[in-house]
Amino acid sequence: MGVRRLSTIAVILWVFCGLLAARSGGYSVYQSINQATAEVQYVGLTSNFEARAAAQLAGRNGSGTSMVIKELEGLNGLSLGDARAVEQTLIDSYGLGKNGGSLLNKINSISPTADTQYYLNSLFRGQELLKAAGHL
Amino acid sequence: MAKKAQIGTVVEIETKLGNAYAQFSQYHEAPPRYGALLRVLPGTFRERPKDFKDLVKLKESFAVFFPLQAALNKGIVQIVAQEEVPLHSRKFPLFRAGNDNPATGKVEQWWLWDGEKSWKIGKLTDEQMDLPIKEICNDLALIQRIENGWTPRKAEALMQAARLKNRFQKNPTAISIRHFLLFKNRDHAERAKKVTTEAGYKSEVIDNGSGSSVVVEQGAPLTEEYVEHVTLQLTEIARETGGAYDAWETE
Repeated sequence: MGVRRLSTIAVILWVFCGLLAARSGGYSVYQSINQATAEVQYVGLTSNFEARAAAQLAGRNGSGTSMVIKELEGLNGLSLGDARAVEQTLIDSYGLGKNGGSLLNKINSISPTADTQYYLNSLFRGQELLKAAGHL
Repeated sequence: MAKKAQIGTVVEIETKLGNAYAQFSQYHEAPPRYGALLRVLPGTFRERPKDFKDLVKLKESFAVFFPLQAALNKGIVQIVAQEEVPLHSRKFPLFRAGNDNPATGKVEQWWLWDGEKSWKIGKLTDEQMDLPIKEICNDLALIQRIENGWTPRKAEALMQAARLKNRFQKNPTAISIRHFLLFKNRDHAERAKKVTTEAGYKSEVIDNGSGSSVVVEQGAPLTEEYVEHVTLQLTEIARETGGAYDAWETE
């Protein structure tokens, strides 16, 4: 019962965030690039780059990574579903760090095991959008 | 909580070379909000200048989005003055943007962005190489750019050098590097070959169907600093002889 209630709340929040982003112009997909190695280290979604960059400030002790956040051109104002499809396609392309890839993302955006058909459809959609934007 | 930055605020940024200064010139608010645009002013200083009136009038070394207020709140940068934004920087600048090809790290399709809309332009003109790049930096990236003398024109060469350095660290057995310079006609390629030979490199011109390539060989010492130096030097030679630096490969 508790789990079901939590899932319902999560879905409502997810839909609410989607509507909020849609009202504010939708989502953009970005890549955080380690400037020292030129490696893509994070793939994510945002509707506010300033906030995302603020979260990556290293601070006065200077520990951390020199990070540059770049929006993927031609892929702004996306719905949450499309943005997650692009995000997952890029995660598959660069690879999660735990699987030997370059990304610091801890988890997939879309689980490959929970609903395989949805995952595959998302990858097709992600590839389609990336190709249309000239990224692949 | 630090004092709130306003348009015109000048901030001090500590670097290994001394203090650098930047002026907050624009605020981008529309989603997906980029926030404060900093004009990074030329030079670094051992001591803080007495006033900033003349410094802010100079053309900036580069302009970049930066989470300014968050950095002020964390004490990473500090406000040192409030000056009028000079006339030449009052208009929101045009930015260039593009998606890096994951295989080469190069942008093949460029876009321009005016703060509201983007449009595709394909290749950049020489003049467009100096446009600011649509991206947002964290504090370490901003400091590194100041210390490296980063400009939008040098961005691609520095990115290629970083890729190469990274590849070396992962594959230290590389014994030589071949750099590729691209030209639309053979005369320009021959000129580049002559300049690179005079600079002490072994190079050859190869016709590639749609133009000519100059392949420049770089041998030992393959230190990171030397590789970066050579990449920048060849980028400059390619530009001066009417071509463009393309990429490198290791053997």
